[in-house]
Amino acid sequence: MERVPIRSAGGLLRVASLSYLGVMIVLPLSALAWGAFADGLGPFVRRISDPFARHALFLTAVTALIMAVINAVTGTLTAWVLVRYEFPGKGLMNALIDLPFAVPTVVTGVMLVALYGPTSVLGAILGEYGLGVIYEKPGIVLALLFVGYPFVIRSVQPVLLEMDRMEEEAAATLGADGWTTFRRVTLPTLRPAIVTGTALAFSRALGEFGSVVMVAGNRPLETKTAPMYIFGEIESGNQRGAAAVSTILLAASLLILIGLNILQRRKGENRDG
Amino acid sequence: MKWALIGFVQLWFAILILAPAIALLRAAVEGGLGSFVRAVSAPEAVAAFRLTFGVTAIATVVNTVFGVAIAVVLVRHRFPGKAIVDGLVDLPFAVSPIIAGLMLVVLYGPGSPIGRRLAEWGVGVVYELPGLVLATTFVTLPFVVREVVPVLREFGVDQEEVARTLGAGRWTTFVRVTLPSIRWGLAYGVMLTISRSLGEFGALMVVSGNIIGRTQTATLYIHDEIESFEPRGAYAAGLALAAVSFILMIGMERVRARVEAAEHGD
Amino acid sequence: MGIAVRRLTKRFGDYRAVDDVSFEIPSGQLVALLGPSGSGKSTILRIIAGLESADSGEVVLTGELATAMPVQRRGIGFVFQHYALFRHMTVRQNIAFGLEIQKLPRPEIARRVDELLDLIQLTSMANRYPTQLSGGQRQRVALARALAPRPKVLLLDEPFGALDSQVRDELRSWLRRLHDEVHVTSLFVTHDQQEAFEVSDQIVVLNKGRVEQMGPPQQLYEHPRSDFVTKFLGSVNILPVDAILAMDQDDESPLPLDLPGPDGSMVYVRPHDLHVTKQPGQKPAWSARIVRLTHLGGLVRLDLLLNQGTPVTVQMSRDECAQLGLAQGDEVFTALKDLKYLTPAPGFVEDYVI
Repeated sequence: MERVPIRSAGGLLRVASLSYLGVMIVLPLSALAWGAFADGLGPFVRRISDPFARHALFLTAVTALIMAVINAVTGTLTAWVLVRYEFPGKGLMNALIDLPFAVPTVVTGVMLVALYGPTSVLGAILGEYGLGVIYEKPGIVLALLFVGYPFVIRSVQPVLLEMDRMEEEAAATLGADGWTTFRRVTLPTLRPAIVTGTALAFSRALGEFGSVVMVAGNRPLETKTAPMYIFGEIESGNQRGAAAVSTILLAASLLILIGLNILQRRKGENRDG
Repeated sequence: MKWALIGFVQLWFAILILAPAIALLRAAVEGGLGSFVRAVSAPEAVAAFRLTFGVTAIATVVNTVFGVAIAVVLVRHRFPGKAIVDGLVDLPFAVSPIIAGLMLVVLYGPGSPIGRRLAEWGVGVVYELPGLVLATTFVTLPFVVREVVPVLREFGVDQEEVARTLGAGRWTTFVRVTLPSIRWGLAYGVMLTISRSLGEFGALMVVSGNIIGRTQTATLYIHDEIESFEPRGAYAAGLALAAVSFILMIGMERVRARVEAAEHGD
Repeated sequence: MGIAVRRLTKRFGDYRAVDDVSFEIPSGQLVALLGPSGSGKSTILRIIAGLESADSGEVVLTGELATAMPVQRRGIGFVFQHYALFRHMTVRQNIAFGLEIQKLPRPEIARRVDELLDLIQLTSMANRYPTQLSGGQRQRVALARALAPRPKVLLLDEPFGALDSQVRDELRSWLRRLHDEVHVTSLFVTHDQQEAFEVSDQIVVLNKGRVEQMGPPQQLYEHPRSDFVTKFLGSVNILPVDAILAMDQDDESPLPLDLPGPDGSMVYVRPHDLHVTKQPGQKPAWSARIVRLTHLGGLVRLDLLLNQGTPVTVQMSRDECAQLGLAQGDEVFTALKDLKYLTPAPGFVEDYVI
């Protein structure tokens, strides 16, 4: 455990650090709160109940949720395959899992436009079948899937690596086949990691802008997500409205992160025997 | 069954991750390598990249210095409200870049008291370089702190105390004992900061005002080029930026191995 | 036949973990696989279980050829050294697991679980989680879980290795009593010779992937057939014959002069097979001095130095030692009660009657 040195000095260091945090974090946060509530609660509620705002928030939540669920499943499967099996191309794939973390969100959007845009081969074909990607809702989910890809994988992988295989062997000796063993023994152990990864991906998706703005096409009440709506309001000079909706989004993200924190702490108390 | 799983996972990876990456590659070098080089060396592109590197440099330096300071204060000092400070450091992770930009515009924009006072002194924040730096610094604030804190904690106070019994002053102790012990965590944090700074977009869109002829970073340039009807420049610049980030990421993998070695007791 | 393995071999690269191993275990017996680390015993157990596969050879369980069968269908119960209880399930749920796989009706599962909880005497802990139990309790639950689906064969991999010595002793006798009640063919792996002796009907002694000898414990002790088995199953004095014969005087050697064999042969004498007296008796004896006398509870160990310079260890009861009035530094006489004789080639041990 860390021992704190007896010296109480270093006061200058503390003042400097805390002032830095104050200016960089607390001040802007306060400004946002002020912007959202300065006119009072009534206008605040009105702004977030605006049909365009409501739709944008709803669209953001739904697309993030769809992405989170898909990623929970595919991410767990991917982590499983990476840890338990050997196959050609495994090394390369493992290294590239983090690609979405390295690629700027704008460039992600550009990639998707290059692949599915109306001028591309694939885009043209899909367009014939009426399966638009770019400028349609699927495009949003696709962008979010790309951006959120590594979260569940990197959360589950270390748990799988550290896992004691003996519980699975015990289940096998008791007659359980592969799927039953996975369902009743492995999955419960992985559940916390899957939840954490999914929650992080979801939280990230709520605020995603750079990739989504490229592929979404900016049609209000159709494909305008909450961050895009906020941006639009800023551009139109409606800072208060933007601040109001921002508060909702921020609160959602914060709640998720606090919830995760509580889960971590509780898990630490429960499992250690 | 096992091969079905492997196949599915690889297919999913290929469609979701590889295909877009390859599409960008092809779009960027369509028309030949020469066309790519020309697009990347266009004056606006070069200016944009130069601005990005400049902003990144400033944000990185500032966040490295203050990041280490905050980490030291969090790990080595005792004071009430430490948990709150911890939470505040993590805040930029929970904030959408658009909201970050909004915060800064509300705080420093021409409509705000601070903004007006700064304007009197001839200092523009929003729509100007300082705004870009502030936004980037905000967004990348947590990285160095979060990477240094665990390493600092693992490292322990003993060596610092020994140094002091041997007569070393606080600064000497820091430079010659503390800093070397955290160097891999610090390096990783710095690289994360750089990587994130290079790619920042949303906050910059808000803070720089979406005006034609505005100061463009590389990401803003890419965005503007896509909106225009000659996306060639966007593809080329996008590929270049992604390539830089990717190389950085590979370097980070190497460093991460060192960090883990340091954290698990040297 | 409960369990039979024939010519099992398993290699890891060039290293032969299991080398042409064959043995048979009669139905209903509790047998120990005994050997030092690296002898291949755990590997053999896991091959029998189906958790690993042999490079060649066969496994037969209750008359059925099981070599190609997956572990799920072999009808075995397995107890791991570190319990491997399902941490996210209660004791009751752990024990019920195998029965649920068999798709038995709920009331029957409940009944059987209660039956087993009673057998292992942990009914009060039924709704606790493994982390809330002690090591000994966890191992009992692991056993109950393995026995619940009525396996044909019970396999235990160093089941008491992770426990404190007192708990270990308790569980050993408990396992023996359990087996006497349940009568499942059981095979357990251990490196502890005392444990094997206490618990099993027969012992298979393994060394470097091969079977050295198999038989009831006392028989192995009395009639070991190799240098390894002799040394592994209890302490033993190893006396070089030639050196001793050369130094004995007056043809009065406790060693039989008609020992066969060329030079270089060794004689094995168990510490309790040596007499110690203060006065010379009828039979020829060596002169020796008690270098060190150690009390070990009910026994006493004497480290003697024979006058020819050979060190020898003698073990006797505390009472006998007190009766003889022995003390450290005494000059005594020691004679043989029994010995084993090892020819240097081909190197197997023969009994020699005195």
